[in-house]
Amino acid sequence: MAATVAMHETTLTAAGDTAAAAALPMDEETFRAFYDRTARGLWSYLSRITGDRQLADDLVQETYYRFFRAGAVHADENHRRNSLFQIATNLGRDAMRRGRRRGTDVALPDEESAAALTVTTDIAATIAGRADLAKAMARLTPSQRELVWLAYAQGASHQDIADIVGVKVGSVKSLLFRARRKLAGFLGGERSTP
Amino acid sequence: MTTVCEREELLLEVVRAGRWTQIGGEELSSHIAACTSCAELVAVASALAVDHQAALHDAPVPPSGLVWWRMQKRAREEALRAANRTVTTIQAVSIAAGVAIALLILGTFADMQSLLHGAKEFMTIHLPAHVASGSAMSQWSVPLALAVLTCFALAPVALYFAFARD
Repeated sequence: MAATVAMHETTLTAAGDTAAAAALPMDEETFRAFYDRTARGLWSYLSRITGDRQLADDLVQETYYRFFRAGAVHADENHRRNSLFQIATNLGRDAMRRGRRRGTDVALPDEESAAALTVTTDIAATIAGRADLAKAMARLTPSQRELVWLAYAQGASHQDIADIVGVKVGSVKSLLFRARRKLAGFLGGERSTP
Repeated sequence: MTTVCEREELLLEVVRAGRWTQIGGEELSSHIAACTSCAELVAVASALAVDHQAALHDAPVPPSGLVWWRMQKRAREEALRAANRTVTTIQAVSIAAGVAIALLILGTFADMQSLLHGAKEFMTIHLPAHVASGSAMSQWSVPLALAVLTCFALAPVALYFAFARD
């Protein structure tokens, strides 16, 4: 039997209408453009919430496949992105629940990448700072890591965070506040530790 | 207790811009020194912003073309597996139904033989000879059973083509 892949190519009634284009299931070109825009951010998110780079590699592939297979229609780019991160969040939680998490092994930047961060930041301080952050993040709960990363690393709005992690918008503010306070406390502790 | 400073939004924008010490100025620095909530925000947001930039730079993501190809391949394999599962299920159900029907027919046939035997004896005693030979009905039982079994054997094939079109 010939396998049918659920990739629909529908003709746009209004050419150039980006809103309509976003509402269509993905063709190859759309997918590749979307992937190029989101893959690095998604990998960063997964590697930081799981604390495992290798697991993040696997989860990125799985996330895109699930997203593709769902064939969902999205109103706009933001909605599409939120759906992708929502799938990633659920996969990350499942993986950690299964005990696949092997501990924090957030890689420290090499000299080149560290220098690329900012010319005014001292490399050693950056590396040390990232090591401290990795340790502090590891002490948060997975859902707290999700919240702080989405809010402060990716700059997601409270509404986007609520969509991605599956909580009410009203709860995001207080949950985020608690997670941030905890992380700040851990960071202070890590930095004061010789 | 949640005590969020009203200047957090502004502060967060400045931190995200990556130059909060330059943009913020003296006034903002004094505020951060005095406000615990804003101090925490700056500590956390700055650390995460730096780490995010580094993670984006380091992310070992495969090229989009390769990911697309892998997804297509996996989707085809899954579709094939799903189709095979459907066909196998239909065949198993059909075979089970066929066997059940065959057993039912054989049972009925055995009952009919004994009934016909009784009827034949009755007719031989009470009816004329040409009427008594009406047991020809029993001769049709085997072809009938074969026809029914053939239908059940062909049913999976018909169902397969019906589902294959979908």
